[in-house]
Amino acid sequence: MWCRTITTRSRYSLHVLHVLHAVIRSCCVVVIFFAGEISSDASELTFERDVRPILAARCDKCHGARSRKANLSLVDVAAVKQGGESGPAAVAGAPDKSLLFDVINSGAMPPDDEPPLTAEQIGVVRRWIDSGTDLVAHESEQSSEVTYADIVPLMLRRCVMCHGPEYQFGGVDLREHSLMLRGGENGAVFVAGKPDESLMVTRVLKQLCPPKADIGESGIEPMTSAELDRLTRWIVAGAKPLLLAEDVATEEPDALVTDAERKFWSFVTPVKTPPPTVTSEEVRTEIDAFVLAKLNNAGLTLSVEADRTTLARRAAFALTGLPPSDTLLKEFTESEGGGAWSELIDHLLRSPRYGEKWGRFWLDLAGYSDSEGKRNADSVRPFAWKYRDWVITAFQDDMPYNEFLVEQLAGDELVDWADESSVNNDVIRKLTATGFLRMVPDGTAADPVNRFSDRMEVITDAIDVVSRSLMGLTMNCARCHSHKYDPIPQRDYYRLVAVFKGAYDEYDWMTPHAFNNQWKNSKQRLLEVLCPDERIEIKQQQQQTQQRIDKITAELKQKGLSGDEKKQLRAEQTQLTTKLQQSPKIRALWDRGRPSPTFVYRRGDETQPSTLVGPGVPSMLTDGRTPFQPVALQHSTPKTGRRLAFARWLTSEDHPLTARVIVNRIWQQHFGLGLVESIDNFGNQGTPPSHPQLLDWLAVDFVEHGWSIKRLHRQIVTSAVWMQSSAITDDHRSMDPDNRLLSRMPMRRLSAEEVRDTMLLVAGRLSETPFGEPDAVEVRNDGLVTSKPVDGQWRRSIYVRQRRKEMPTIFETFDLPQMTPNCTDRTASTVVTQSLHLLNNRMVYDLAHAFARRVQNAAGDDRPRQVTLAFEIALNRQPSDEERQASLYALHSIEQELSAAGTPQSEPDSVGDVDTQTIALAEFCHGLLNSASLLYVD
Amino acid sequence: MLTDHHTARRSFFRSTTDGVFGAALASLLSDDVYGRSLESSHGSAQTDFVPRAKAVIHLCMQGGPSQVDLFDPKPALRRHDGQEPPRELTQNAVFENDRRGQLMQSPWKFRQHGRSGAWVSEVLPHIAREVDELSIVRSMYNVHSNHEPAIFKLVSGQTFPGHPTFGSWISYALGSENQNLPSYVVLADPNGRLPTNGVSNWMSGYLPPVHQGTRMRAGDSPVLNLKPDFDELPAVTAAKRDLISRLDRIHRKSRPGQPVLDARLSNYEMAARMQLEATQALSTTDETEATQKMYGIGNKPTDEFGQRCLLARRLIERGVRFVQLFPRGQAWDNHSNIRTSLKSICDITDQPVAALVKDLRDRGLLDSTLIVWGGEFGRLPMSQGDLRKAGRDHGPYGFTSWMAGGGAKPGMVYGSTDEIGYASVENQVSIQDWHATILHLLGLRHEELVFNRNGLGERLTHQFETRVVHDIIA
Repeated sequence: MWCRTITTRSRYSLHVLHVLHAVIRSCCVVVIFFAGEISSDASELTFERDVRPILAARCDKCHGARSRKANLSLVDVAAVKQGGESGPAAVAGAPDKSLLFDVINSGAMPPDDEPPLTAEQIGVVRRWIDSGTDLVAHESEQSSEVTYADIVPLMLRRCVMCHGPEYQFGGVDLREHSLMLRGGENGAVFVAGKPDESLMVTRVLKQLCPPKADIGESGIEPMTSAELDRLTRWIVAGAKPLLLAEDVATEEPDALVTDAERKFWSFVTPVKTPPPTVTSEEVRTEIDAFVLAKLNNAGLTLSVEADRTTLARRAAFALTGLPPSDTLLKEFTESEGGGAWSELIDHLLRSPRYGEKWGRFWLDLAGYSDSEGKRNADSVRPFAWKYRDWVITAFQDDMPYNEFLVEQLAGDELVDWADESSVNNDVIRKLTATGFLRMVPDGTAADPVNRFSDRMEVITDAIDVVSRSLMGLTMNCARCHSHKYDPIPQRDYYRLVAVFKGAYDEYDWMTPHAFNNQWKNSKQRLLEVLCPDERIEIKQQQQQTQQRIDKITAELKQKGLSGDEKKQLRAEQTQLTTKLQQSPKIRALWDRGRPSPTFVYRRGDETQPSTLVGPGVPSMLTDGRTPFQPVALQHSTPKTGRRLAFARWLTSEDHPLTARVIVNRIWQQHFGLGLVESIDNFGNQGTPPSHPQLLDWLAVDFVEHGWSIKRLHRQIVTSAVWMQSSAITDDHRSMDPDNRLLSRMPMRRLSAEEVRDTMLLVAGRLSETPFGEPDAVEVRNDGLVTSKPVDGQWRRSIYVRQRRKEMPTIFETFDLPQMTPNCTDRTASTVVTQSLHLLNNRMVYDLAHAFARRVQNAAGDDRPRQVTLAFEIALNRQPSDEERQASLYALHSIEQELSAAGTPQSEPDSVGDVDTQTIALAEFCHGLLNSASLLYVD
Repeated sequence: MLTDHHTARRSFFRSTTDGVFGAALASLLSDDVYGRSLESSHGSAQTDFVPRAKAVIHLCMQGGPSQVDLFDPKPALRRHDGQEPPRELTQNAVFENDRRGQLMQSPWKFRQHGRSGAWVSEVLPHIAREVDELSIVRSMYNVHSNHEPAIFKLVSGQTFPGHPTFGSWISYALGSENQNLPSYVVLADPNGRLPTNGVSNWMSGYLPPVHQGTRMRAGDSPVLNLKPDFDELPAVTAAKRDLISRLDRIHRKSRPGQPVLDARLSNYEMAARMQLEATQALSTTDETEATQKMYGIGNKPTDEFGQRCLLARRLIERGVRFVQLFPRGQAWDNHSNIRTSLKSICDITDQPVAALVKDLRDRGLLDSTLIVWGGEFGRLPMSQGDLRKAGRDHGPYGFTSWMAGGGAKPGMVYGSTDEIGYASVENQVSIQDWHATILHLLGLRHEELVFNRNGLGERLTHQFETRVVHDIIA
């Protein structure tokens, strides 16, 4: 279906009705008027005389000689007949099947801001198509011959699985013309002019190809009769080759994207303009100058600076996702000098907790998950966590953002990992980084969903993540048709597909992991690359294991073993065999240097290949006259170098989007709103930046200073803008209700991970052990999912297993979304299930008891001291008099209720509190864990 | 298009909290119903006519109920029993497997029922009695013959996960009429035998999570964490809640103009009300013996499903917008031994489903409640496996589903499959047509119920060609 037609039609529904009425009326008139002479007059309509003038006046702006939107030109009959990316524009004798008529008749075209064609004009086009004379005449001129161009996609779809890059069964390779004619072990596959003698045809006819046993596996299906017919006709016509040229960017001007379109603000390289001069004591940094200038214009100013405790807590949550430690807080609040803030920030940025907090930010963008998704089974991804650890480390080490991207997009092309002798930890790290491109849902391990269309979904998701997360572009619209709002021709989407083709190739597919329901010849996309010493060690271990297995096998053959003994031996055998298969692997993406040709898929449908394209980047982000030239890499294995070239282009210093997009994302994490509010869409449909000069200043400055994210944080959190109070005044409400002008700091709710981690920390149960395999979860019959403790402690949320169908309930409740394929903007909802979880969930209650013990151990039985300490631990501050009173009152009444009931209520097993005093304290602590003061950061 | 009024509303919500939650919150605060506010913010999706249905009960019969054994009799199968299906009738088959097997007649007899004279198989005696309420569509088709993609298509309009289910869309559009209960309730198998695709069957995708289906079950704690998962004296609970409320009020006092804090306070109050209301809604003890008996409660095969059908009615009575029921596991997936396996799931569901139709009618709720019954596909008219214990394989090319109440035309049979019941041929109804028709009955235009996702206008019917099936609307 044509999206454009539908969406516009709905918006114009009323308008369309009018047009339709008009058409119907005019048609009636026409019919009556021409009743006697309709045949002669109608047939006399010609394209040149009657139709072309209408098109020239109304359509040429976009579909003429100079501009070919949607790859469609309407200059002559041939062009109309050929049509654009959605297929032929007119079908002789069938106006209802002709897109040209459909779009002008429905009012979908001309686009939104142009008046529709008149009923008379529409009538002319309709009658011209209906008569069909021009179109049919044109047909006879055109050759209906099947060419090699039709055969290539057919071979890809039906044959190359077994006769292509991976396998050449029967010695046959059908990837190229020369190879096709070469034939195989059983003789000639293609005999020009003689289909009956061509094994290609006879084997399909005899149902030998594909082999029956393979049908339904790995996308293997028999050729359809139409396809076989096409093949036969090509052979009959001589099976001739044809030089196929890939459509790539050249030095010639691009007809599909205009220079005017390239001038959209975000497609132009940002330039640093000096901050405005604002004479105010409030201005500390450039950020402040930009923000204050706008605030002053609106008659506002910055809010006062927040108090020190608030600032410390805000900074600690912002940079580490946890409240500040006592010592850190004390050092800061008790120091007087101006350097204290800077020291506090440095300390937080150095903390290992920083990598975990901001690593999570990136994992959202990448769509990190420990399972494959797509299918009900939701298979676990055994090695995904290595990528998680790589991300955390990269943030911790403040890896420059450009390198960070290059390694994730093309780490495999940076190193010669296949050369065993050169493998070291750096090589392994770079391969691990490519896990970024392997995070999208991928169900292709199981055959029912390993068809070409399923593989295209994986590729589409990966491109979606790359284009939205890294470039702020909704490229995916262009998978089926040229982008409706941005100058992204469909061609450019498939050029990007070609960039990834060396690794993600729907005709040369690798499954995510081994699986029982999989084609026996499938290869898996997991790499076993080890450092030399590690390799030796593992080999030794494996040898030992193998020896033991052999020994057991021998023992099992001996007679006289009891049933139990046999059972025991068999169990050990199975266990060892599993161990043998579990060598460490890397969930990587790597180029194999043999990409299939890339076709534009008409309407995104892989059964309708059209133009052949080569690798390239979106034309609107270039000058339109620069070819994209990847350099094939001469490593131990061939590599196309396409992704590396793409990554280098993406991280070039003058890239219009890369720096802007990441700076905006980091800004949004701090302030709730991005400078560009639509953080994933910097295109025409996105929101324009609230502070365009500030955005560009930050972006350029970021690049100038080594793409350092930690430096960017420091810039932000030391600004007066960031350090403002979050209190809302009447002026704010009336003049800056949305806080677009940043008249205050927004108050924010803790994220799902922060809620859980903070409760664990407060309860003294947070383990600081980083990295490694994710922690298991427990799924209760009623659907409650809880992370399991290790030795009475829990690790940070980022280390809990993130299986799509078993997300811990607390994460879901506090808005950790499903990664489909990723999530770049979390909601922060306020819903009743959150209150219910904190009030009634067993784990939270247990943590309240642990918290209470901590308090009691330090404060003894003195109630006022307990209250003060509990506030200090949970909220980093002392209670106000009012809070103290409320707390003491609650403690008192709970204790009374407990005593009145006689027997103390039963306590959690894991804690073992017994007396009413302690239980009352725990209940109070539970209340504190539920309080708004804990959940909201000022 | 959004009018200025809507834009203003939106910016108000944005400033209060964030988007739709603002709407929910504003409703909570103004003691307005959850739905009405949302209704006006989605006003553009409303059709011009008065909505026929206010609520939907989706009886999701996933697994693939066999149309030729239930609602779509095919005498030709008797005549050609044991023969290969004619190639020209199976030309739609995507997989070679979908042509295998010999035609197999239904083991059950069909008879015409009611004034409408619709044919129903003897294996559904109770539903047959309610046939004059049903609008039977015999010309449904789906696009995939595997459960997972086909179920995703059925519930969300796409064959893969990630998109909101139609229950979520309806909740998003209309909200709930009862602020103490979720707007979208799922009654899945209480013993955890979830349908294929599990919890993804009620996901909200990119819509705000509040529109995700909430799993409820009969018994003490109908919703996760609804009640303390530990022993606590009620008086202690009360004292603790009082403490939370006091602390939150103190906290709020020094932070004026932060509506999210008001919402939080309301949530804690709502938590208490919901505990009461949900517990009441999910208990059937106050139902008369006659009612319980009508649903088959207390009798072996029908007891559990009957309970849930009755709960569905109780939830609808209390203003829940969308209730979704799943039988256990894949009970309709009758690959083998169809004589016993299909019979068994019919025995479990027939009486409770018929009772639900009747009960809603008797209580005057059927006019405003749309019941939709059907699976992700049907089954092929051929046999599968050993003939003595033959079943049927998945048949996505033509199958039957039905609607009742809520403005669906009663006593209607619409569309047809070919001579052998393989493929839908006349008045074909796609999944998106079916979705659009359901939305239409709720007064919603499928083209305009749109969620803006990074500049993309997402909708339930996606970009598929879609028609509302007006012929089955009363």
